[in-house]
Amino acid sequence: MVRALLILLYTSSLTVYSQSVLDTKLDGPVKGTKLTVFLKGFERQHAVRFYFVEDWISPFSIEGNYAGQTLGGMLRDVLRESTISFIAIHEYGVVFVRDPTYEMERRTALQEAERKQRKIDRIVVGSEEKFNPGRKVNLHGKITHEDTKAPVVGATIYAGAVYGGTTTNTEGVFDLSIQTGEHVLTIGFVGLKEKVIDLTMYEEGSLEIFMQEEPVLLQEVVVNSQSISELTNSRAGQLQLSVGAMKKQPTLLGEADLVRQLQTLPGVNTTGEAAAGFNVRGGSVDQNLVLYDGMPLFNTSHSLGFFSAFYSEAIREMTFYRGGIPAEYGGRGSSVLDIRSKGGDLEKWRGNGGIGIISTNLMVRGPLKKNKTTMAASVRTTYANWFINALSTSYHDLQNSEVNFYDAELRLDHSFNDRSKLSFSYYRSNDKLRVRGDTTYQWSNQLASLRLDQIFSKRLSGSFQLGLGNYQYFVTDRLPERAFELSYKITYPALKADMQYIAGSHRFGFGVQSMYYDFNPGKLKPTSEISSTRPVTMDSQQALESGIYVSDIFSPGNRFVVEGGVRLSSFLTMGPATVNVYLPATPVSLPNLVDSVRYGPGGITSSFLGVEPRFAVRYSLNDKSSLKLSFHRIYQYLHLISNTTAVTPVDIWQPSNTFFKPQRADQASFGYFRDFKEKKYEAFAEVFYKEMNNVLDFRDGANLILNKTLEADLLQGDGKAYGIELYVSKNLGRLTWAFSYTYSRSLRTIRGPTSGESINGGMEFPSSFDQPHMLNASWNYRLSRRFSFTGNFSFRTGRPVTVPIFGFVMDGYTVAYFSGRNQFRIPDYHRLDVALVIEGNHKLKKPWSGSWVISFLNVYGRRNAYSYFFGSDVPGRINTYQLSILGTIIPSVTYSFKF
Amino acid sequence: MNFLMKQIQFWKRRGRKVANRGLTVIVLLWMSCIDPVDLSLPPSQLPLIIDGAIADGDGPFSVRILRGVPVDGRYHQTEFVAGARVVISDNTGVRDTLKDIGGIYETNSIKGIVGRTYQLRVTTADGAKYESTPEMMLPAGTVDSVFFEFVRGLKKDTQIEVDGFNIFINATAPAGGNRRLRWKFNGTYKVRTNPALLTTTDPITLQDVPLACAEQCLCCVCWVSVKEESPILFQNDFLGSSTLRHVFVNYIPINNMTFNERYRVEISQMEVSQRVYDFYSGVRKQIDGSTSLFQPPFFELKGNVSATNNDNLVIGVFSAAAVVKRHIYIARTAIPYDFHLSEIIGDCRAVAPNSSNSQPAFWQ
Repeated sequence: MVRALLILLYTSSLTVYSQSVLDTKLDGPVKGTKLTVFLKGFERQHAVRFYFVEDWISPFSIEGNYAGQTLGGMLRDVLRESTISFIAIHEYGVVFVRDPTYEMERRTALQEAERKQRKIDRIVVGSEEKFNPGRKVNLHGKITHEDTKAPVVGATIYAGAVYGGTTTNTEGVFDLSIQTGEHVLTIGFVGLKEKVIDLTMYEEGSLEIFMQEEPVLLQEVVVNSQSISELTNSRAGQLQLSVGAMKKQPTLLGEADLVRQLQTLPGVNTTGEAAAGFNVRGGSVDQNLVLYDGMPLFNTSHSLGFFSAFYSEAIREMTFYRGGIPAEYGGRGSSVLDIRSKGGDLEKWRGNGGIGIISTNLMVRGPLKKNKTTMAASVRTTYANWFINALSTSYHDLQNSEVNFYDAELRLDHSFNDRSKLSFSYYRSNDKLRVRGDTTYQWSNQLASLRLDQIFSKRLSGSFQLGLGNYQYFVTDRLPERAFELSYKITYPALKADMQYIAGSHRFGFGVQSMYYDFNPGKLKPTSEISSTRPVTMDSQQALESGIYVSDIFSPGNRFVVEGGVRLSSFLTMGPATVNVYLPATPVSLPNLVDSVRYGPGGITSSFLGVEPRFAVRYSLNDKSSLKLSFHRIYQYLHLISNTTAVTPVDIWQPSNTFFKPQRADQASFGYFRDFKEKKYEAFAEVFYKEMNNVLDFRDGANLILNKTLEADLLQGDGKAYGIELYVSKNLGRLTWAFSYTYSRSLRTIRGPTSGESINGGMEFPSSFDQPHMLNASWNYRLSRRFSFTGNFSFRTGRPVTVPIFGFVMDGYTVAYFSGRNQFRIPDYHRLDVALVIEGNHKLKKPWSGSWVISFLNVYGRRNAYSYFFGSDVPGRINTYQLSILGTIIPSVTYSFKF
Repeated sequence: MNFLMKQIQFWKRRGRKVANRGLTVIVLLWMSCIDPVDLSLPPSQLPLIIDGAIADGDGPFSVRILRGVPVDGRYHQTEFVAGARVVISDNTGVRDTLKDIGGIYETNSIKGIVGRTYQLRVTTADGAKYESTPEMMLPAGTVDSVFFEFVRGLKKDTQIEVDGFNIFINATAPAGGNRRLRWKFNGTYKVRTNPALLTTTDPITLQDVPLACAEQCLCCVCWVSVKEESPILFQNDFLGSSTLRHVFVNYIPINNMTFNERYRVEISQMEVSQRVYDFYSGVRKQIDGSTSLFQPPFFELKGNVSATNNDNLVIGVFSAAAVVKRHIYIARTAIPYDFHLSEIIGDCRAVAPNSSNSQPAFWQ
């Protein structure tokens, strides 16, 4: 009834209109007077009646001097931005009404929280005496994990359709511009209990929020808790990934795999099961920036791509950008995967571990000094080697093989006070692979960083990081007559400073980042006296990549959230270096090599500068749906050179130089996002278009290792990708699921002045990861409080391959003739994986808890083709075979524990 | 699974081609599969293949002209192209029009002399003309020694693979800078079978009778010819300047056939031009890379023969290279254990592919 009256009054204000009373001029100073006091005094002096609810009007005071102005002008100014409005009726009365929309939404939110049995915290910010209703003020907050005391990065804070929402930054801090008055805040983060706050804001202020883990672990499917994030976050294409969800998905030989989970997202694909890395929206593997605590990683996998190089328990959160990449990131054209490690617990020591079929892991974290200094350390290592050697096989070579990997993480945090925190992070991954007893491959990636997070004031905060990275591989052969060691190494120290400044509804970000690369692209040396290997040392390469950026996130009006930014990037390559000189206006090929120029130490051999605009806007159509538009331009100065089907850890990273221009990637995306039934279901549709310039490809038959004239074996061209991504999920109930479908194309054009400098005659051709139709469905069915049945089905169009059009016999060899790169496709890929998750009891306080994940991959044993190969057993006959990596159903079991 | 076994055998035979196949082996044994597929490609016009070479000496040397074969997993008889006019000339004005022996063309008189430049010209019956780039005949260097080392293979009781010998050479490349050597492995072994123990049904009497060739032992002794599986090439960037030591050239498995008596190994060494080297390097990449997990994308092979008055696709290689050879015999006694032979039943020509019952002239 009250609601009906409010609505009636409000709607009537749109039709009834009279000016006479409101035109009355005010004759004296009224500054500092309470509005109710003023109105009652005005009634006594004039033939006018004011109709209002005391509680609505009493908080308002008249702050300005309105002498000589009209009554209507003064009231409009005092009630500006509030939900109170007024109308004049019958030339003698003024009725004050309140817009019920926000109040109704607030009540609904509270009722919904009660229905879901959510605990509602009542928080009052500021003092009632300072309450100035309707004024926009800034709510500054910090969200912390209750157990670990670690900041929750990427948590969403939603204040209803009118005020929208925001997310926490890397320090777990958020700022929200809202009116004073009553609000309901909903705070969400994947894997943590949703928090509901009944907030009364009297003035600008701050609050600290603690979030608890969901008592039922691993409740969500990977993306399906992203509704709030997707709809309230201004960045199109940003996804927050769940470590919890990752652990409960079916796994390959028991290893929870971040990269495999990424590949279930719309717009992300891979060339096959044994391929390292991933492809995002038609970009190549090297176009993904993978950051671990702010430092880039060059290798993201173990065992040549079978397992990802991240121990899931050591990860605090992962943010994935596949479009609308913010200005603070640069250097890779397609995506950013920002991984933050888990810090230690501030109050007590905790641990967890896992035992799988091929690896085991352990993590401990706790306080070195209570509430001040913490440590987290973890290690994961394989016993695949033992497994292989224990195989009851008669193949000596297999038993003499070696497959080893480990990764280790260490993190130290020290809080000087509430405003300063120093963190040290170390990461190392190592792989060793030896087969057939002679040749061993080893590769490792190490990162160390020191980071200071400093809050200078309520408005200004920043982080400063000093880091050192190292990526290297070795190929060794121990057969005495040819024994050698081939080494490759990249060392990259980095410095960066990122600042945030909050001014009203603007959140400015700015910073400077610089990274120095020292490439040792190859050194071959004999390792025995009788070795026939001749030492070869490739010239080292030095480069400096820098970027400065500025960005702003602001809300012009309640429906828009705009993020704009620009990044200025530069890349310098420096001596000592020898630069080859080719005949002008001729193809860059060996016959045209005429000279070389030697540059001394520090001499600039090439330089590049790039201006990279970034833009993302969200427009809320209503509280259930929004539109998002984004654009980014990114220059990429490092190129991964590979001439194999899949990227391998022993491929070469090549900096841009005189011959290799930086890649440029421009991407625009537009999406419609919507949820249904109080976020029980959500859906989005997003289209994107991407153009890439100067993508590198190799000439036919190129030899890339220890090649001193690499430029003569590589070509540059253009690429483009476009597509539409559709996604729908059900997020609540015993059965949750997510379904995505992507149609996209990824095309390349390599057109040079001569046929030798073109691929496929300069015509457009599909990239080797062009998979037009991609479909993914995942689900999680809670059989009981402790048992869940999860699964995933994926389908992808077969990727393009190059096949022979005929064969021939030459000098006794039967050879296939290939024409046209990537003109044929392997059969479509599809696979079903299921898992049974058995959790321990759900008591919050327990000394030990364990869970089992029993997985079955490739349930119906489909032999998905990974590649084709060709062979001839007798001259005159060419056979075609397909290699399937998973040729049968693969069961596995993992036990994880926490203490 | 049968394919898997074949695959493993295939890798084993290539003992030293290591690279990244290792994981494939492991993965294959764990969970992967290899299946034949039918690409069902649309039929295409099969192009002309020209395969010719001239070495030092008097010859005769031959040029083969044939057609390509479809990629359909079926055997296709080599289709030679007869009726062409084939001429080899050198830079001193010597020309030789080759005689046509059903698509295989043989030289009459032209000699191969180091330092001279040779060129091949072909005119097919329909008037289409093709020619090679001029190829200078380069000296071959020397094969200083051929030797072998016993290597343990798979367990003998698996019946899949046995132990073997790795064959190495010490060689000297021609003096000077950039060298592009190619070696050919020519293996020959003698096989003695017992065809009399194999019977066939007489179509008239319907009686089981011994093989006809068994009576005079026409098919009880054969010589089997083996060559390398992919071109063996020398890469100047990785090895010493002119003297090459312990260069691996091939692997010989030890079994009932290969060491039935003894094994003759002949190594030929030559230096080829850049274009010919690139072609065979591509062939090697294709053959070696075809089974790799990290398969290099395949590419078009380009020889040194091109069409001059038409747009027909032709793949041709004409090489001019002096050749030096060296051979050894490996006796069964070189096997470091007592190797027992079992009797082989049947026609030796059928039992051993690439075999002949006439003794090669070089066999001692």
